[in-house]
Amino acid sequence: MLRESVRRFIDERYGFETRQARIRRAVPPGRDLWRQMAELGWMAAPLPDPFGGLGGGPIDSAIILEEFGRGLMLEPWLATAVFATRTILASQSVLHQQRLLPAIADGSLQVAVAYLEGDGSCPAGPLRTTATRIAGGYRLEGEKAVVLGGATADFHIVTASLDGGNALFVVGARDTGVSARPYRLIDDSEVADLRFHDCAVPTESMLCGPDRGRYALEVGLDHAAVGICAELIGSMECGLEMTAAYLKQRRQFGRALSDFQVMQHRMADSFIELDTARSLVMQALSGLELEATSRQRAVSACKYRVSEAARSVLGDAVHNHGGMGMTIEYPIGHYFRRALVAERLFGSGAQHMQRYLSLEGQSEDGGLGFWAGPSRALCRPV
Amino acid sequence: MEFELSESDVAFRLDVRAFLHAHLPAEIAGHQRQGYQPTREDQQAWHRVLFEKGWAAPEWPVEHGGTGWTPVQRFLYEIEYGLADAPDVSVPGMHLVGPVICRFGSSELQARFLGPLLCGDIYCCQGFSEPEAGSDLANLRTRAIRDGDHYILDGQKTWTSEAHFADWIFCLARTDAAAKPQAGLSMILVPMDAPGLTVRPITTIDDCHHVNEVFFDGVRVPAANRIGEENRAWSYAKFLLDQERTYNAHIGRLLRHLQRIRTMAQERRIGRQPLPAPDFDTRLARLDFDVQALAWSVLRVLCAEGDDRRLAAAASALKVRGSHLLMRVGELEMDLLGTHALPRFSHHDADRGDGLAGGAHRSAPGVVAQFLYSRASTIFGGSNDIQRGIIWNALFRD
Repeated sequence: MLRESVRRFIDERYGFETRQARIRRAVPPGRDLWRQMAELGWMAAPLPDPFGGLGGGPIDSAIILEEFGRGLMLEPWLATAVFATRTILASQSVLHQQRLLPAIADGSLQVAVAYLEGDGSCPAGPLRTTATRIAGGYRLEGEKAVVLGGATADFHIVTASLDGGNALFVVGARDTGVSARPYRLIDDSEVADLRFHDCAVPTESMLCGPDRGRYALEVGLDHAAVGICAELIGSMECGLEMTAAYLKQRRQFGRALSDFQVMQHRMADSFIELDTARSLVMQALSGLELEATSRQRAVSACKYRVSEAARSVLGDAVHNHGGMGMTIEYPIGHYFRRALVAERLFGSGAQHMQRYLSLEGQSEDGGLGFWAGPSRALCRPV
Repeated sequence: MEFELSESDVAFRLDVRAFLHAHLPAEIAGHQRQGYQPTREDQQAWHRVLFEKGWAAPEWPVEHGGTGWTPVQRFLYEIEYGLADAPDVSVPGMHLVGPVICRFGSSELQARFLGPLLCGDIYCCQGFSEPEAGSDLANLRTRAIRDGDHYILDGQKTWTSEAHFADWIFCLARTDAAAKPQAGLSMILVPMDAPGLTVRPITTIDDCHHVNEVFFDGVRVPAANRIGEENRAWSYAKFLLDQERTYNAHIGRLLRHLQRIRTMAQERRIGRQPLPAPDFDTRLARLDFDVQALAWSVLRVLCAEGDDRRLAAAASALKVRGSHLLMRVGELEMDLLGTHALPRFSHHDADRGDGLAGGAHRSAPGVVAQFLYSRASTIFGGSNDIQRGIIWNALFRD
């Protein structure tokens, strides 16, 4: 039911031409779509009950995101409803959960997570963004890059080094000392680079202290990584459907391209890759509920392999469209560009491989990702 | 559709593991771990143990001796079975013709065959492919001409696995030459000791004898040996080939291979020998990902209900991926062996332990034989090119 409602929304209110018009600012920017999504209950769907949520979880997010992937949705739903929300939940700060989550659920707030340093890195060691104690709170200094949803967010969750660890702070986007440089990525999504200079924040703005900050961010990142992989599943599936439709109507040498065995087999190989990717998303959804090592293994396997599959499936989809696939007016190339962006978000493939290898030998389950206990994963038939 | 792993599923998996640990003879497991096909004696002995437990035919209908497990339980069983290095029970009998007899055979035929199959007393082989009918199976030419209460079979089958120690062969044969190719076929059970039936071995590139040619020269069999209706066997064959596809994902074998690779790599590390390539760990991780994905895909196919076209596509995808993964794990093992993979070993070398030619590690004969034979995995069970055609038709043909 959730899936059908999101699909209908995309079909009726976010077709490709509509999307392009929004990018061109032929439609003035605003929260109209965001509010409509909130009214349909999508922000609330994956949120736990006590915070205005509908008591769902990552599976509901994955269903929504898969449909968003089909439609190349640009609204920062993943950034707010998954990345920020899961970071807030993992911080275990009841104060911030009560303050922020219901407002996210009802669509009145967008929240971004600013964790990449100014040079785009996420260092294992100390961050260059710092928090220094002052009277009444902290002073934040530093730069953050590629903040998803950062162009329109009401609040930023900012990572900053403090007392030898990383703390998380909730900072108002329009607070003194916060400046933003918005721009678009190659997939047209809107992000911002942020600068914090002499940015004074009160004590209670600390979402998470340095003893727990790294952990809370990691949980948020893992949820977001699985989320973007769910998006890529939808993108790949839609890309394949578009390609099949194109091949059936495109005629050369007196016949439809879809009559040629090589084209049929190429499409079959793309489906096989997609099916592999879909299974890894399911494993990762199951893994999100497990303890840290199993979760990390499942998420890293998923992010590494699904982004690779998306690049090849959607790249091949461009190829299979011939020259048409290379034009900006035609949707298929935009799916390919989304895959390129997704590979670099929430940990690159190489970073996830490194994490997976660092966990070698730490889990006894033959690596199948659901041994540690009861779990559930919702899937479409096949 | 929701898949859930419950507490009782977790307990079931542990029960399976405990049973296998207690009852699978170490010698049989060791042989399997090395990569050798079990002898008929070993396989039959192990089949008996499973039969006593009631686990000889998990996917058969319960009324014919199946276990009635849920798809999740069947899946967990297959995982633990593979991890324990347990040898497969006879595939043609238990996975192929057995389910066909359960579904399409007369009660008389079921009474004659299902019991002996279930307890491992009789062994079947599959007579489908012919020299002129490989991927184009409907082009088969073996004829079964009706003569009173009998059929007379003339023709030839090829690539028949284990015909050299089977008791029965189930054949696709042409009973109506006038009909369209798919419409004139019947499935008939023939005893391997029938007069006029000859078996000739084929040696494959692993220097082993797995497959054979089987010749039918005026072989008389009772018409009562026919499974189901005359001329309806194409649909039975499709049913049978559908059963085969989840099996052909080879999840159990793949998990065993991954374990073996890790053991071999660990031995090299302990012996301070270099690993074959600097990207070894990444290659192994990539294999992990694809085997994990395949396992979840098997589970999804097992749990799927309805929507036959997508199911057909997903099942064919399992076979293609399973075959590629078998070759990839084999390649990694071969890379770990390096020059130890070079000598042309014989079967006797399998049990020799040390002192092999070329200073080879004792695992070499089994690894090499298994790798060479795994080259067939893209070919048998419906070649991967046929599977790709099935995927396209299932998903995209109008």
